[in-house]
This record gives sequence, structure tokens and C-alpha cells, in this order.
Amino acid sequence: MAKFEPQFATALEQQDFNRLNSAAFKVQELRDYGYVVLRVDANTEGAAHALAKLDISVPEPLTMTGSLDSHLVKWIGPSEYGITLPLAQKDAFIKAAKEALQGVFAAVVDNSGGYSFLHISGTQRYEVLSKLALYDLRGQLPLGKVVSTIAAKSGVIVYRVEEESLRLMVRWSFAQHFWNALVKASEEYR
Amino acid sequence: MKRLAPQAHERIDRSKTYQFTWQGESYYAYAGDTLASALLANGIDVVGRSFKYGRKRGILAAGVEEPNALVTLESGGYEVPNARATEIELYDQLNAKAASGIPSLRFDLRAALKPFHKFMVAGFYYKTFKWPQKLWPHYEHYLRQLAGFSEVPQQADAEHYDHQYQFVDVAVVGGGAAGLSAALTAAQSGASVLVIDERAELGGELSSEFASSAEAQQWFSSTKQALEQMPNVRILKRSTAFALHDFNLLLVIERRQDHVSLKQRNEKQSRQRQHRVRAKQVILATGSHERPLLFANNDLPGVLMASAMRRYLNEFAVLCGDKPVLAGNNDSIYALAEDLVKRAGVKPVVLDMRVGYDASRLIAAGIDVRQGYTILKASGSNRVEQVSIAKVYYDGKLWSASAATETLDCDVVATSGGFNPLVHLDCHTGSKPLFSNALQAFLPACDKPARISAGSVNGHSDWQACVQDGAYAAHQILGRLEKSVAPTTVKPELKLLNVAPFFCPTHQRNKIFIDMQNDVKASDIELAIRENYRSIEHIKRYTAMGFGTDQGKIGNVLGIALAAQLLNRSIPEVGTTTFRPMYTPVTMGALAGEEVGLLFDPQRFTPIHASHVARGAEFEVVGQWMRPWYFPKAIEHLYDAQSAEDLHTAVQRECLAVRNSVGVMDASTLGKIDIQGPDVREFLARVYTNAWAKLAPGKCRYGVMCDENGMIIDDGVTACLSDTHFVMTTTTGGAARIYNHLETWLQTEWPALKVYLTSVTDHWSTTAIVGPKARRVIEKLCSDIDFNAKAFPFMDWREGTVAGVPARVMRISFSGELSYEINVPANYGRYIWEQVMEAGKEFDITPYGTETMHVLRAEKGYIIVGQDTDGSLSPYDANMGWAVSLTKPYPFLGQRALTRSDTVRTDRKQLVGLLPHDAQKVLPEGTQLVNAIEDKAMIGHVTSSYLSPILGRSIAMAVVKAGLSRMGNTIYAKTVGGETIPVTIADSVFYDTAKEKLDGEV
Repeated sequence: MAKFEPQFATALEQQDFNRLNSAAFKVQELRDYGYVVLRVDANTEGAAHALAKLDISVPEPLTMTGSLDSHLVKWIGPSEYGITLPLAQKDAFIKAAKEALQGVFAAVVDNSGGYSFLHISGTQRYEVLSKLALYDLRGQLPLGKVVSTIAAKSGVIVYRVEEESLRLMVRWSFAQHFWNALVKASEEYR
Repeated sequence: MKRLAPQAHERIDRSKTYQFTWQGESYYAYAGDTLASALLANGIDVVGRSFKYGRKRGILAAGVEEPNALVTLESGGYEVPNARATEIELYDQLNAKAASGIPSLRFDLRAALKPFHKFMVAGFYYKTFKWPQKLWPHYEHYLRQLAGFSEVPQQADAEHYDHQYQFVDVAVVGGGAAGLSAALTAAQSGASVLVIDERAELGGELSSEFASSAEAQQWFSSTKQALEQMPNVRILKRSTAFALHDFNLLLVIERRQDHVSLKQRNEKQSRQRQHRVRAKQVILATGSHERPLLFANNDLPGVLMASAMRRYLNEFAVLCGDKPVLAGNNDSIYALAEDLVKRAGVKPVVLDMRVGYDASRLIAAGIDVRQGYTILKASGSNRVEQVSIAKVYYDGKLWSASAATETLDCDVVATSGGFNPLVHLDCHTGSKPLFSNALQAFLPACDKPARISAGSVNGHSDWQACVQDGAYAAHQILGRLEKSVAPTTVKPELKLLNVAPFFCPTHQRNKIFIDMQNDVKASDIELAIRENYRSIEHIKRYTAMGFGTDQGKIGNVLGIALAAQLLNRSIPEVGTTTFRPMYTPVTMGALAGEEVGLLFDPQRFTPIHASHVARGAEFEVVGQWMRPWYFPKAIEHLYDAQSAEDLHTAVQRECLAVRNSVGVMDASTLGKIDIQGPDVREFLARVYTNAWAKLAPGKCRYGVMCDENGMIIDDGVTACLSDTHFVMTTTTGGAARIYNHLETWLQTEWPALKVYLTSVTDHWSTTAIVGPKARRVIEKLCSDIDFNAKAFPFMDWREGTVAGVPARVMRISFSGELSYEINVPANYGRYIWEQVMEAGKEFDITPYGTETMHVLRAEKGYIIVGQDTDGSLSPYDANMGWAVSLTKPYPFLGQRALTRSDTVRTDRKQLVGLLPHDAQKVLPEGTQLVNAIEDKAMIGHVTSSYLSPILGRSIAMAVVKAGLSRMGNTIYAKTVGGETIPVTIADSVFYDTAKEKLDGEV
């Protein structure tokens, strides 16, 4: 058997990110995050104990708990939470979560490969995104808020953990299309 | 017509002279001019020909309501059809021509048909060209050549467009006195405010007051400055709010570069932008348009609206004529007279239908003011030269004119017949405007939530009242927004312009134009009513009143008033026609925005896409996914020439490679749904037709999914990971629909089932190694799975490490060959594909696309949902009764429907195989089938058809009435081309019926 060296790729790594790298509008694709979907009703028997064990505080609708350093728990829908966490910790987290939730009506699903994780900054970030996104990201996305919405005909999850930037998740298969839309929308600011 | 010496408040910049071309000839004007003011300043009278009669037409208005001055702007990729000269800001080197004139503006064939015009009344085309019926296509051909204005541009648009979503507390439509006042009041409370104004500069009709009122100028300057400095205010100039939808979705088109010369346009910027504004509150300060008086030949060039003449005078320093006659039925006409005296030293003749207005100041200035007079007829050749005037009397209900007339020489006629508040936006959501007798105008009802109107749209006629009304309106809505509100302002009193009731002379009504853009005359309205049209909506459609690009902005209210008079009803009883978006024409580009070309529809890509591109794949779109269709190989020719295989050759090669050796396919696009929970088996049993209670972990099972009517909607393989955890695959195109279908049932009908669904389609990348040598390839990549056929049988899955990556390997097949589908997280998808290609090199592993996949599966009789099924095929129809379990404790979706009388009919269309008698004849898919050569009654159609390389003959799948009981029968395929092809009905499994190939090379 040959010795293998698996190569990790992201959805947009073929793109020239220098095209979207100005003070006005900058996009980075983050390689080092994993994404785990947690389906559980916090009121389900055993859930509270298991979640406490995982150090997960269930967020209120449209909000987040935790941090990107360990695990950022995002409210996606009733009984659905999206957890973004360092990729290196992902497998251990899934293992721990499955153990903690053993016997509880819940689901822990690795969806890390399902998304491109984008960091969007720049003085014109809202101007650019407002050409694509139906949601009022400038006015209705304060720090700590997360929304699932549509941008450039693609389903996206957008949230803010820093003052000057947004984080956006777009499905892998839509990432190229979304990238093309970003390039076009930001053209006048380059 | 001439340009006056510099005026105190003119908009033009005389330091910048622009050259422009009109009808191929060169002219000059100033920056700040509109094309209309530039044409007027250059003495151009005739700017268009009328729609039906080819009559000469001049500029009537100064804004969006202009019906006549339609032009074709520029050419090639920059061509703009039917642009209004009054709205085009002049730029250097602008090139325009009239939008009308057959064959030319100077000579119009339709005008030459003048003797026939009397026959060309409303309904002329309907009545005349219906006989003989068979000639209609010829009539239509010629009539269409006579219709319309600009020709459709032939080249693709050279510019681009975009959309922007805006969210504000308050959107103010209109940047005139009321709008600015409302915006300032709203902004001072801290609310976010968007001001939308269609002109190049704010001010609206207030600008016309600057010349005569320093106070107006000062108020405007300070208000504008204040608004521009407020961070919570955004001002959109050159922007028209063209639609207001429910929940205050306001659509606005911003002309970002239309005013810039072609050479200076910024390619990076959109030409126009559509703003999609969500406003918590909308203030409609849309203003009003003047309407003209009616008289014979009122469409002559040189006859224009009084407010337009005033704007051209004050804003553009253009005097539209030296010998003006001003005629009106309200107080506003006197302001124009005063301005003419002051600015141009011209003394007009003023005709006022009414008596009693105190015009002593004007009379003292030597102006001929005649009250109780109006114009009955205008005359002239290229422009108005004379008017016939007469005394008029009002009896409390109707006007009548004296038979005695007097003729006045003139070179311009400006009229004012009152004002039409711009109620359009308010009416877009269904509100009906209300008629005010005092104002002789329809006012906005504003009866929908979260909106209010202000200013002259409410009937206010003086700018101070508009300012007050704007502030008042803002206070009202700020209260609703719970913003801090300054002491409430008082609703201003209406200062009436004393508009006289409507009057249409009875003489020569066939020369009185109600709707100039569509050549609708007063006599046409009369005719429509004589022919018993009663509803204004019917009258509109019979006469074409209010059609076209101006949508009757000037004429409709006049038409309504005339109809009311003729029908002996009140104007409110007749009512208005329906106001629909768009308020003004919107370019198709602005509607589409950036969603054109590549961005029209998302193209979805698999993680392996770059590898496919590198191998020269041709792609096809499957449910938005770009899937490799086939992988053409290069063909070497003599003299180093190269070409690529065609589809047929490539598919032939790919099919044989899979059947005889090994192929590889990207199967990442299939929908994948992770299903977990203690009730997952029960859930699957309800959504699939077959049984799921006993499927053991490590096993996979094929399932057919039906809707409530028992018709197949999807199929796929589901793997059992554990008793409480399954992964379902769906068809590529059906993934989102099926996910929604499952969630809908789970959430609405079976909430008690403990099941969670998670879409993992994008997480997994799937590489399928297919063919007799598949095992030999995968064994080179994975050592922790025993691939022995007995240890890892068909329809099992295993967890292992493939090329160093944790993977789920499924032994499932869509070709009848030995097949391993390697599922890894998307991040490793391309890597795994390349490893498989490397490992398969020694077996000449062949990548194949969807076309080969289709052939392989058809050889095995496997269906493709959506191709072989069409929503009307039950599992029994598809000969898949083996996949139906009727003994489950809880019936599956659609089970009950399978016993309906129609579903159990024996003559339903059933899925069968077809073998053309000519083994090389490939039936076109969709071809209809008949029982006998001479039959016309169709008994089914071909759903899939291919040339099978392994069988060396053509095969097809088809739905045929009672087909399953007709095996061996000959029927006939009738192609669109008229060919009749005999075929034999056969089993749909054409290849390896004994399933001997499933285990591959042992």
C-alpha cells in the first residue's frame, strides 16, 4: 500500500483572493474551522445535562453563545444549532457530543465539508453585500447575532463576532457562484 | 424660441457648452440642459410623429409626463429606445433621433393618409381587419410595421445594471418642498431617512419659485444643506420610485450614469440600479402634474403646458415663444404671465375661463387679460400660429361657448386645466383615489398602513403649505415609529387654485386630442360610449387611452371627465382606471440587475470540478449542478491536427470501458440527508414504499418514494449506520424538494416521530469506481476494508480509510457492474478522485459522465425519476411492485391511493423496454407510440433511448398503455419527422438479466 498524504482543500481555494483584497472590500476564506450540526430540543429529557457537560449554553433565537476559540453555537432554527469550532477540535468534539447525548433524542452531524467559511471586511462591505443579500445586514445584524438568509440566490448563514467584519457561510456547491457574485458586486470599489 | 440672457436661478451652466446630434445634425447647448430644453433652445418644433395619424408633435411637458418627445438615444450597445427628451440630461456628444416617423420625421406616410383619418376611429382595426380571416397574418405584418415608436435595439446592452436592498425607517418619495420638509422633520428625530427624487437636483416644482421668491430659495438651500449633513439621511437623486408594493416594498430605479457622456462612463459602475427599499413608513410627496385645456388641434407643436413653459423659462432660460397665449381654468396661469413679463419682457395674452380673479396687477403692467374666455381651436402648419378664442359660460353644471369667435396670432400656447396629483404609488396596492370637487382632482386615499401623503399630491398649491404639510406628515408617522416628536405642527389649510370644472368644446372633437401618445381623441371617447362601453376600463381598452409609455399621465383624467359628461355621471362615479406598476418605464436591464449571464442561475459545482475541467469534460446542467456530461478524448490527425471525440464516440468508449474494465464517476451531486432518531425506521417505512424495519447496520437498501397519490416522486439508496441513524440519498435534481417534503410531513403530520433530518449533500463528496476491475482499484487505496465479494457484498457499506482519508464506502450500483462509491468530506473530494485515477491507471480507468451513466442504467432498466417518470407513474406502473410492501403496520405515503380505481386500471401506461426492429435506429426521446401504422391515437411515448455499445443495438424505455401485458408485441414509434418505426415491447432489463456481473472480477 502506497503512503498517502491527504490534501485538504476548500471550496474557493482555486480563486484569486487578491481580487477581493482592498481596504474597501476584503474577503478571506477560512480553512481552519469545522462545522457541526446539533439537533436537540433543550427541554428533551437528558439534554440539559448533556449540554452542560459539553459546555454548551443554548442560544436564544438568532443569537450565539460560546466563541470561535472553543465552540461558537449558533441558533439556526428551533432545535437546530450550528457549531463552528477549530477544525483540529472537531472530531474530538463530535465524539464527546455523541457520548454525552447517548440516549437523548438528538443528532450530531459533521457538516464541515458542506460550507465555505468566509470572513468579509472593508469599509464598503455593507454596500457590496446589500447588492446581494435580502437581509438588512447593516442595520439588523449587531454583534452576537446570526441569521440564515439568501444572498445571490444562495442560502447563507451570516453572523458577527467582531465589530468590523462579518462571517458568512455558504454551501460548498454554491461557493463559486457566490464568489462570482461578490466579484461583480464589488467591482466598483476596486 | 430662444435662449434668454442669464437668469438668476437657472440650472444651466453656461461655462460648459455641449455638442449634441439630433436627427443627424449638430447642435449646441449647455450643461444642465435636458435634451428637451436643448431642442427648444435650438428652435426645434417638431420632435415626433403621432402614433396613429403621423401628426407632427412638439414638446408638451418638462418632465416624466411628456407624451410626445420620445427619442431613440445613441446606438449599438448603448441604444435606448423611447427615452423621453424631457428626462434626458444633456451630455457632450449626445446623439438622439426621433422615435417616430415612417419613414422619417420630416415625411410620415401616415400623415399622407390624411383623407382616410376620419375612418380610422377607435375600433377601426378590430372592425376593418377581421375579414377575410385568412388574410389576418398579412394585415398583422403591415400593421405591426406601422405601430410603436423606437425600434428594438439589435445589439446586446453594453452596460450593466444592479440591485441594492435598502432598509430605512422612513422613505420619502419626492424631493420637492413637502418631501424635503418631511425628510428633515423625520431625520431630526433620529430616524433613518431615504429621500428619492427623480430629477437631477432636489427641489421639484419649488425650483420654479426661486426666481420669484427669495424666501423659497433660502428655505430650500438651508433644508438641503441640513439634510446633506445628516448621517441618517441618504438622498437618491435621478431616482424614480416606480412601484410601491405591500408591506412598503418600494422599488426605485436610480439612473447612475445616464447623464454622463458615453466616453466618461465608468465601466465598473452600473448604468442603472434598482433599489428594493423596505421602509417602515413611506411619505408620498410625489407632487402633481398639470393637465392641459382641451381644444381642436391641441396637439400642434408650440402648444404646451403652462408649468412646462415656466420651467423652461426659469430653470433653462428658454423662452418658448415671443407671442404667447396663456389659457387656463385656474389661478396658476397668472404666475407664468408674471414671470414672462419679468424674465423675458414678453407680454402674453391671458385667457381665463373663469371670471373674478384679481388680475389688476397684470392689467396695469399692460397685459391683455381676458376672463371668461378660452381657446376653441389652434391652427398652424409646423407649429401653432393662431388660436380661435370664444367667450364661455358656466351654468352650474356645464360649460358652453359663444358661437362668436376671435382669432389671435401667436407662436406659443401654454395652458393649464388643473392638476393631477400623482396618486400612482398609493394606488399600486389597490387603493382607489378620491375625487375632490373643490380641487377638481383625484387625491390619494392613503388608506393602507404605514404610509402618508404630503404636499401638492394632497392638493396644496403654494410652497409654504407644502412645507408645512410635509412636516405634519412626518410628525404623524414619527408617532407611529415611536420616535421623539417635536410639538405637533398643524395641518395646513388648503389654498385653492380655484380650478374650474372640466370643459371640452363640442366643435371638432375629432381634432381634440385626449391622449396624445396614442392618438385618442374626444370623438373616440364619444364613439366608445355610443357603442355602449360604460366602464372606464372598457372605454380605455377600446380607445387605447392611457396605454403606452406615459400611461395616460396627462390624458386619463381628461378622458374620465369627458366620459362622465357623456355618460351623465359624476367623475367619482366613473372612477379611474387601475394604476399599476411601473409608474414610468423601467429598463429590462434594471429589472434583471446583475442576475444575467453566469449569475442568472447559480451553477453548483462538486469538489471534483477542477479535475473534470482539467480532463476536458463537457458539462451539462442537472438541477443547477454542473455535471460532467462526457469526457471527450483528443483525436490525433495527420499533420499534427487535433480534434475531440464527439458525444457518441466518447460515450461508446466510456460505456465499454465500464462494462469491460473500470470507469470512475463523480456522484457527489446526489442529495444526501442524514436521518437520526429512535423513530427513523418508522419514518423511512412511511416515506418509502418498501420495508425498513429489519435493515441491519452496515446494509443499504433501494427505496421508492411516492406522493399522496401513489405516484413516484423520488428514489435512492439509504444506508443504515445504526438502528437510530441512516443516510438517505435522493436524486440530484430532487434533493431540496425531497428534503422539504420530508420535513413537511415530519413537522405537520407526524410531529410525534422522533426524527431529525440534516442535509449533508455538500459535506460529502462521492467518487464511484465502477466496472469488473473496480475491486482491484480500490484495494490499492484501502487496506482496512475486506473487499472480498462475500465479506463486502452488494448493498453493504463499510467504514474505512481510503488513501489516508476516513471514508464511507458503499457497494451500490447504478450500472449493474461491481461498484464502490467512496464518500469523503468535500475537502478531500478532489484528492480522492485523483488518487483513484492514479490507482486505476494500470487498468486504463476511464472517467465517465452523465450520458454514459444514462446508457449503463438503461441497459439495466433502472429508472431515472423525472425522465422515465412524470408524476403519473405508480411503482406498479414502473414494474417495481417488488419494492412495495403493503403489510407494514403504518401505511406508506401513497399506499391508499394505489387501490383507487384509476390507479388499478389495467390499461394504465406502464414502463417497458422497446427494441426497434432496426437495431441501429435510435428512437428520439419523447416519440409517440401507436398500435398500428395508420393509427393516430397515442398509446404511450419513449422516455429514454440510446444506442447500447455493449449490446451493439438500440434500446429504449417507454411508457405504453398496458405495456407489461404486451411483451413481444410490435407497436410503432411515430417521430416528429414523420418516420414510422416498428418496435417490439420487451422487458426493460436488456443486459445481464442474470445479474452475473455484480461481483465483478473475482
